[in-house]
Amino acid sequence: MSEQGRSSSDHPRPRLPHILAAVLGPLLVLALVLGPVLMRGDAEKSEDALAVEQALQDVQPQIVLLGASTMNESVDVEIFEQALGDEAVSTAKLVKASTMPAVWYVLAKERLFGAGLAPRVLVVGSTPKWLMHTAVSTVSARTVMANHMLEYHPVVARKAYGKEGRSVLHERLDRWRVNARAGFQDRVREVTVGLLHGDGDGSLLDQGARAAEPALDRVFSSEGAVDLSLHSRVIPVVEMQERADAPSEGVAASVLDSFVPDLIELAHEHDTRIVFVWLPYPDASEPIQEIEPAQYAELVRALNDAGAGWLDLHGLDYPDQYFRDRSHMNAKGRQRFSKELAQALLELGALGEGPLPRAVEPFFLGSQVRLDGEPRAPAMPELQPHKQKPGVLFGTMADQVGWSNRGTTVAGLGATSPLVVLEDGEPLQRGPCGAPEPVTGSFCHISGVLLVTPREPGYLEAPAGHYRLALERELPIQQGSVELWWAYPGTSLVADVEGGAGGAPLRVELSLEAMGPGAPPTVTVAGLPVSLEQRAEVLVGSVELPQPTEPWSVRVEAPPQGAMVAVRRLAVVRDEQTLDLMGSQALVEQPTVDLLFQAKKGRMEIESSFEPWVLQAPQPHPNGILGRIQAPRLAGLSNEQLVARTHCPRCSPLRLIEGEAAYGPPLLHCGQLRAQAAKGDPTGNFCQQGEEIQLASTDGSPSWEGGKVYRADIVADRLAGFGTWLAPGDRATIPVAGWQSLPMRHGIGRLVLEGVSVPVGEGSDSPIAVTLLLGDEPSHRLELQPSALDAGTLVLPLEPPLEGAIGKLAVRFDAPATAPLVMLSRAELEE
Amino acid sequence: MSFVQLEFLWFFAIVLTLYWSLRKRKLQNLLLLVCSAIFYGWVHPWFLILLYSSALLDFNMGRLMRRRPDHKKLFLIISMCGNLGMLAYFKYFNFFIENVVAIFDVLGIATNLTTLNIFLPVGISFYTFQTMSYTIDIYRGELEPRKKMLDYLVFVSFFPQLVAGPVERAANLLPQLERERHFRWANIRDGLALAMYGAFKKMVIADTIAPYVDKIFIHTDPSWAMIWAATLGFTVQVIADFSGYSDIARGIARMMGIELMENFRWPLWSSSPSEFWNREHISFSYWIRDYLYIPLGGSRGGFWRMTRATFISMTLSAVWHGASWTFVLWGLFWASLMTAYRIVQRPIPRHIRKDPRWRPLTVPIMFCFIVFQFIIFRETHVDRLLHYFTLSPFAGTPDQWVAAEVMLAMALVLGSAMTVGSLTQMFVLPRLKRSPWYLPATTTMCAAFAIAMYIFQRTTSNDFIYFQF
Repeated sequence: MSEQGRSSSDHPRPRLPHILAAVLGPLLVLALVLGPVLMRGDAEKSEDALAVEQALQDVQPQIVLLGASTMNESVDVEIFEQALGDEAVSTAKLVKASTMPAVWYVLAKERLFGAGLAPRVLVVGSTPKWLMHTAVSTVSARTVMANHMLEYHPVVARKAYGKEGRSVLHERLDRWRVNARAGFQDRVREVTVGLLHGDGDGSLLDQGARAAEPALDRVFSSEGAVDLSLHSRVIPVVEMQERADAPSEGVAASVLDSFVPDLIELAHEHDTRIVFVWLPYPDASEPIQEIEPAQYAELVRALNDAGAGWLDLHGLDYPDQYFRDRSHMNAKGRQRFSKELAQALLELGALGEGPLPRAVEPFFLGSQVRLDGEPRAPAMPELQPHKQKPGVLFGTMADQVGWSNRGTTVAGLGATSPLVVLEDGEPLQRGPCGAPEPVTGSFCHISGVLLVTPREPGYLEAPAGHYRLALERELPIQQGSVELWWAYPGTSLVADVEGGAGGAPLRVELSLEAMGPGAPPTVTVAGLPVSLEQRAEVLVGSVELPQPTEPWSVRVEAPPQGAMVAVRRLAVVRDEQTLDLMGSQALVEQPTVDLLFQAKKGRMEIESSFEPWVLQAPQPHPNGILGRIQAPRLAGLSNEQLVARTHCPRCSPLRLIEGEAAYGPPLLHCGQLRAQAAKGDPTGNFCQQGEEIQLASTDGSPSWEGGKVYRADIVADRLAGFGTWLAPGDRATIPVAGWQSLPMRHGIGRLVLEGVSVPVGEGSDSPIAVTLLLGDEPSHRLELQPSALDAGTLVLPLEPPLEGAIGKLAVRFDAPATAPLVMLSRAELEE
Repeated sequence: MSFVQLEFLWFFAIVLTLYWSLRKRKLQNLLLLVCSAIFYGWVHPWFLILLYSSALLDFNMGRLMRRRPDHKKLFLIISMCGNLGMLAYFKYFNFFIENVVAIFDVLGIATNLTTLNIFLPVGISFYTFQTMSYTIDIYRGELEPRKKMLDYLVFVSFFPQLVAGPVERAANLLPQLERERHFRWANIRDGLALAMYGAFKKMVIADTIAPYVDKIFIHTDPSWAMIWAATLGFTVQVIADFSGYSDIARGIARMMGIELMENFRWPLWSSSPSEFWNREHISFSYWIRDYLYIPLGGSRGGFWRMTRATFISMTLSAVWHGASWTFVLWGLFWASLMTAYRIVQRPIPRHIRKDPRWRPLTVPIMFCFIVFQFIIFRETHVDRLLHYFTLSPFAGTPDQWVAAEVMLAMALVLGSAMTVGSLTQMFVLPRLKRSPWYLPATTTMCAAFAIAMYIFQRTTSNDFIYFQF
C-alpha cells in the first residue's frame, strides 16, 4: 500500500527481530485462519452432510431419487409413493440444485451407501447429455462437493478434475472458502433484513433469513423479472466473445469416461438396482439436451450391458404449461410426472427380483445421407436488373413443384428448397423473398420468380453466364429445427442406419411427399421393398424387419420421369417405442397454431363492455388499520382457489379501484398485508382471502371513512402467468398470420382449449361465442360452454375444416355479461 | 492475460526473475518488449499488429518532425489521423452507422448501411492516447524524438499499464526506460504491497459487489430505491475495480524499478467537480487537460470560452469511454456540473472557497453528485436511464425494499472496507514507514490480503471494467 516508492531508501533498516516478524507475521495469519480447517479431523461432516444423512435415516428409503433440481421439481414423493400402489415403498430424494453426475456419485457414495443405507432402487433423473458431464462446473456444485466429499475419491479426481492429485484437503479448503464467502454475504443480508424486518421470533440472523430469502426470490426469480440482454456492455470485448464461443469443457467423449459406469458399479456393490431416467423438458429446451445419436446409442448399450435400467420419458407429451421455466416442472407437471414415473418403474419391473429388461437400443444414422446419381438441375432463366430493387437481378422460371422456397409445396418446411443458385460456381445463400432489404450474396425464388442479389455490386454489367442453377447435394437441408431430404428424378437417396442391436423385430416407417406428377418413388429398406400408400398428399409406408445384425440402408429412388421426392420422416418402431431418425411425427401429422402465444405477443385485441363490480363499503378490520369487504362473488379469484385450480400462484386478475385510482395485484398472503399494517404502512395494497378482501386505501386514510367507493376490476391486458383471461363482456380477437396456417395442409380442423372457469355470481355460466373470421367475414361459429373447461381438454371441431394457407385469419371470443371469468391456459388451432 | 488470473502470477514471477538476473538495461528492455508482446497477444496475437502499427507510425512521425521541422504540422496530422482513425474504426464505426441509419429512417430515406462485426481490441484507447502524447510533445518541442526504437516500443507496450492505463507520458516513462535500473528490496516490498492491495480491491470488493449491482441493472422493473442502491454499489465497484487495476500496474512496475504516475487519489474525498477529476483517472484527465482543454482556451479566455472548452473536453473524454449516447449524456452532465459550480463559486472570495473547514459540507454534497453521475455511466440504455429519473422514491413493493436494503448494506460494508484502506493509506502508512516495523506490517498485511482473495475469488467473469474502454 506504499505510495512512496522512491523514498524507500529513507526507511529505517530492519534488524533481525523485524525480519523474523516479517516472516512469522504472515505465517501466524495463515495459521490462525487456515489452521482450524487443516487440523480438522477427516471424519467431521459438514452440517449439510449431517442433515442429508439424518433425512435419509429418518425415511429408510427403499427408492432413492438422485439428481439435480430438475429431478427434485419433477417428482412429488407423496404422489409417487401413492402411484406405486400395492408396491408402496418409502421414497426419499437425494437431490442438489445445479449439480452433475460427479456430485451425484459423491452423494450416493458418502451419504447413501456410506451411511449404511442400501435402497432397493436408485433412480437417477437427468438427460443423456447431462449424464456425460464430468466437470464440477457450477459454484453450487462445488459447494455441495466441498460439503460432502470427505474422502479422496480417485474416480472423482480423475474424471472431474482431470488429475489424481485433487485431495480431500483441497476439497476441505474449497468448502471452507465457499462457505466463508457465502457466509459473509449471507450475514450482511440477514443482519440487515433482520434488523429492519425481523418478526422478533428467533435470532436476528434467522429472522433476516426468513424475511430476505422469499422476498429476494420474488423480486429476482419471478417470471420476466430479469432481462439478460441488458447485460450487454457498450462495446463487445473480444475476450468475452471468445469465452462465449468456447466449446463446453468437461463433457465425456465416451460413456466410459463419464460417471455412469461408476454410479452403476456403486449401486451394484450394494445390491441396489439402478435406473436412469431421461426427464421430460419443455420443447424450447430440446436443443440444449440434444446428444449425438451415436453417443446416445453407446450410452443405452452401456446401461444394458451393465444391467442398469433406462427409461426414456422425455418423449412423453409435456406441453409448456407443465413447466415453470425452461427446465423445471411446476406443480401441475410434478403431479403428472410423479405418477408416470412410478408407472414406468413398475412396468420396468424395477421393484421386482429378476434382471431388468434391456432398453431399446436406439438406431442412428451412420453416415452422411447421400445421393446416387447426378441430379438434373433446371435451366437458368435469363436474369435482368430488377426495376424496383437496385442491385437485384430478376428472372422468371416455371414454378416447378418443390422448388419454391416459399414452402407452400412442402408443408410447413419453409426455406428447405433444394434449388441452389451458383455465382461463378459458388453457391449463394438462400434468403427470404420478403426481406425488407436484399441480402448481399443471396437468392430467393417464389411463384416462378427468381431474385438474385450478387455478392459484389458490378455484376449487373458483367456478361451473362456467371449464374447457373444446381440442386443441393448436402442433405439434409436444414431450416431451424426442421430438416428435409430430397431425392431428385433420376437419383436415389441413400441413408445408412446403425445401432439397435438386440431386442425384438422392428418396423421402419417412412413418410414421403412426391412433388408433382410422374411415376411414384420406390423405397427399399435393408433390400426389402416398401409398399407406399397415399394419405392425402403424403405417401406413407412401412416394412417389418427382423432384428438386423449389421447396418442397413434405406433407399428412396425417384424415377427419371418421376416427381421430386421429399422425405419427411424416417422412424424405427420397436416394442411400441418409436425413434424418429429423421423428421418427427408431430411435424408430419399435427401442426398447430398457438393462439395464446399470439396473445402474449401483444396481438390480442380486446373490446370490453366489462363494468367493474361495485363492492360493498369496507368495514374496519379488528386491527383498526385495514378495511375488509365481503365479496362472495369473487371467491373463485382468491389465490388459494386459483392456485388449487390453475397451479399459478400470481394469476389473480383482480384489481381494486378506489374512486378513479386502480391498484393491485392483490398480495399473495393476507398475513403479509397485516404485517405491513402492523408496521404502519400498508398503503395502497390489498389481498383476498376466500370471500373477503382486506385492503388499505391509496392515501393511507381509513378505507371505511370518507365515503370511499370500491370497485373490482379485471387486469386490463387480460394476460395471466400461464394464459389469458376472458372477462364477462369481453370481445377478444386473436389474429393469426396467414403463414402460420401453411403447415396445415389438410386445413384447420379443430380448436383445442384448456383452462378453468371462475363463476362470478349466481348462475353465471352463459356460453361464450367463438367465431373464426376469414378476412373480416365469419367462417365458423362455435360455442364454448365455460364449465366444460373444468372437465379437461375441450375440442371444438370445425365443420367443414378451414383450408390452410389462407390469408387473414382471426379467432374471436365473445363473452356475454353473464358469462363467468375464464382463464384459458391452452388455445390452439389444430389440423 | 489479466492481472487476476493465476497464469499471470506465474508469468510475472518468471519475468521478474529474468528481469533482475539481466544486468544490462538494453537486455532488460528487450525482455520487457518480448514479455509485453506475450502478455498482450496472449489471446489474440493479431492485436499486436495494431499496437505496433500505432507505435511505429508515431515513432516515425516524431523522427520526421525532427528531420523536417517545416512540415511538422503535416506529420502531426498524419499521426493524429492514423491513431484516431484506428480508434474510430474499432470503437465508433458501428455507433456511427447505427445513428446514420436511424436518422435516415426518421427522414424516410431507405439505406443499405450495415454494421460490422467488429470487436474492440483491449487497451486500444489507452495506447493510442499514449502514443499520440509522444508526437504532440515532440511537435510542441517539449520532447526530443527518440532514436532507439527498443526503448520507445517498451514505452508504448509496457505490459503493466498497457491494457487499462495509467495513460503514461513519454516525459515520465521514457527517461526511466532509458536509464540503468538497480535491484532494491524496498521496491519489491513496496511494489508487492501496492499490487496486493490493488488485487484485494479488485477481487474482494469489486468482484463481490458486482453480481448484486448487475442483478438490479438487468431487472426489468427495478424500484427507485433498488436502482439508487445499486448505483451506490456501482460507485464502490468501479472505483475499487479501476483503482485496483492501477495499483496493481504501479505495484508490478515498481517491482521492476519503474515508477508509473499515480492514477487515483481517493476520488470520493473530492469537494468539487474539478477536484474529482484531479483525483479520479488522473492520467487520463490530465491528458485531456493538457492536449484538449488548454489548447481550446482552457481557463484563460473568459467564461464563455472556458465553458466551450469544458463542454468539448468533457463530452469527448466521455465518448472515449465508449460509443453510446449514455456516455454523451455523461459528458454533458459533467460539463454542466463544472460550469454550474464555477458560476456558483464565482462571487465567493478565493480564501473562503479554499478554506478546508468547508470540506465536511462540500465533500458529502460532491459525493452525492459522484454517485448520481455513475448511474449515467453504468446504464447502457437511454430509455431505461430516463425511466429511472421518473420513478417515485416512495414506490416499490415490500420485496423491492428488501432488495434495495440488501444492496445498500453490501455497498456500505464493502465501501467501508475501501474507506478503511484509504484512511490507512492516508494517515497510518506514512507514520508506519518511519518505523522498522513497516516490513513485518507489510508482509502480514499481504498475507491477510492473499487469504481474503483466496476466499472471494470468482471463477466466472472477472475482467476489469476498464478493459472495455
